[in-house]
Amino acid sequence: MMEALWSFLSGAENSTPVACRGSRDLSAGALRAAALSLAEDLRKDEGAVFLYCEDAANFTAGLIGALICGRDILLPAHSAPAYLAEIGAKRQNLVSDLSTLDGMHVSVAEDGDAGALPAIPDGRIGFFTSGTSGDPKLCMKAMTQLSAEVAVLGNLWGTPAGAVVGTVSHQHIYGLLFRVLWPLASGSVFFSRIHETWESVAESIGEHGTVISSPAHLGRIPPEVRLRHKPAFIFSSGGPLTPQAAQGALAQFGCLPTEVLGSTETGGVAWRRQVEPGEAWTPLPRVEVSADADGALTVLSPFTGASVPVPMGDAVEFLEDGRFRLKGRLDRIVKVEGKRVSLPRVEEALRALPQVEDVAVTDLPDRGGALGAIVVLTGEGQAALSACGSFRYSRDFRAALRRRLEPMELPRFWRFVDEVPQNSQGKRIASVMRSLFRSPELPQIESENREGDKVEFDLLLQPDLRWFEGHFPDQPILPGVAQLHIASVLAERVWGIEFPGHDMSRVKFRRVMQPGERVSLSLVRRERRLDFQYVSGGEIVASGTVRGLE
Amino acid sequence: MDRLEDRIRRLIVETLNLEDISADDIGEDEQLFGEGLGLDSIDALEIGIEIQKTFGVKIDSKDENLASYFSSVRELARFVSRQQQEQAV
Repeated sequence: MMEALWSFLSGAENSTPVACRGSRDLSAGALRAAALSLAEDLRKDEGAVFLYCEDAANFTAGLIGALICGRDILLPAHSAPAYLAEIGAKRQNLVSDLSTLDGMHVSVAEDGDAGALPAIPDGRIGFFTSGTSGDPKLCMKAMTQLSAEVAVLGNLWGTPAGAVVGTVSHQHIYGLLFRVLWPLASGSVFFSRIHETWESVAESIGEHGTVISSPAHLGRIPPEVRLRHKPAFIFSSGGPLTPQAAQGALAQFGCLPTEVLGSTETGGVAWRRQVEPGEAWTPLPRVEVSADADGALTVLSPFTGASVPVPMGDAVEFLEDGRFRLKGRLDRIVKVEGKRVSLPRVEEALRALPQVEDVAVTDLPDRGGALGAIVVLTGEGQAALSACGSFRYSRDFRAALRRRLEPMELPRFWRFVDEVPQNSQGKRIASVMRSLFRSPELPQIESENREGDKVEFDLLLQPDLRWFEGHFPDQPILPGVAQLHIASVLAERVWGIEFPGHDMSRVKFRRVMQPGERVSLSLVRRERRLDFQYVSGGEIVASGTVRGLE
Repeated sequence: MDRLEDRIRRLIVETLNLEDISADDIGEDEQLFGEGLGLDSIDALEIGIEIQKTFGVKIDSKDENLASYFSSVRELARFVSRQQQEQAV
């Protein structure tokens, strides 16, 4: 197995180019010489080696050098010193091409003479990914898994005809496989430097070049960039491309990107080209995909390193021809009162209701983990909503859902909106969803009556006002600071003057205000001063004067 | 001192985070479930837990008359004061 990965490099003439650094070729002899020289150093010690290089040729020499010595290789995702320290890299075990890092140095010169490489044992390589909490998480792979995947890339897409240009780092599995190992194993040439910008890709790319890129880059192609040569392939991985990005690359570069679905844990899984938006995925050769009991895509392949199917965390729908579509992340599984609840499942149940046009469901950690539903109604649904009010309507929804869902899966909080918020990439961000359920700062305004410098509000102090949280759990009240805040925010809305509230006089809080209470608030503006008065049940409950900003 | 009925109305509104209904909107004899206010069985569970915590009373889930105790704010108040008296004896 490992033979295939390294046999071209090992047997090539010393002068055969294997990589380009800018406009200069790097030879097989030079790369082998650097690897053998590093191996001399690495033989003196044992244990895992951390390998971080900016240059992919230096990286390859480091990788081979460590493999020859039978040492595990760990790939930091970046080179920030605090991060390197956190994952355990230190002077004695770090190999790098950066002079700023303290450790062993690896560098491929332009030319060099070295004989064939010794037999390269199967080794292990570890990638650091960011776990769900954001902490670095190590994922170990056998080199044989990577080698098997490179063989499949060759079978599927042949040998890269021109030099391979990458906008992604080889420190990650996708970049390592596509940018470095695939061209190296098949006798092609790769650019050793990462191409961060499309302008630099345009400068480097030659005839029949292959571009290894990502949704982040393909979604941001500057409109004036032109490529001298049409790429043979543009690959993208790390997340699905939007149909706009796929079509944009086709229009500008004449090549529809080939998307690869995969993860560090599973390796490559499937590929597609979005001729139509949302095109289905075709499994890679040697990959068996299926769905587990939760409806999650699972993967069995020589690239995963596991003998049982590995779940991917995406809900999947299979087509008759063996292709499949992804139906949303199943890692959107949350715990509600200790029970696992799948958010996509709840969304699907809601979407099946005739009054629902679109929906997003989120968990609300601020509210004991209960679920919140954001619903876009059809015309029929909107009529029903205005007839019975949102509370009762939400209970109708719960009644309808109870046939399909368990009690814990039923949303507790409901928002009926015109559209589900999404970011510029069309993604629904959990924190934005949750913010729709955040307790309001202002009471509900039931009426507003303005006459010149005087305005009167009828306010409902709804119980979910943020101010009621934490102010005496048994007997929540609206604190004085909140009364001032509400008065000055409403005044600013009316007159456009800021009343910061720290310069005040004659302020009296006579009685507490409670959740659910209805109060009227009158504001009188006199030049830069604001008189406020809260009245409830015919009595003045608070009053005072606040000075505005000059 | 608030009346028990008022405290129960507030408890319902606060426990369920009834965002568009205030305590005053709940009639004392209004049916809490089904046709009336429109609460459902999950709401009932939560109210039950909160009633027990707030008023220190016990609710026997096997009690056949449970549904009638929860039928309205007035019935709930009666139930709570009866339980409190029984427990005081």
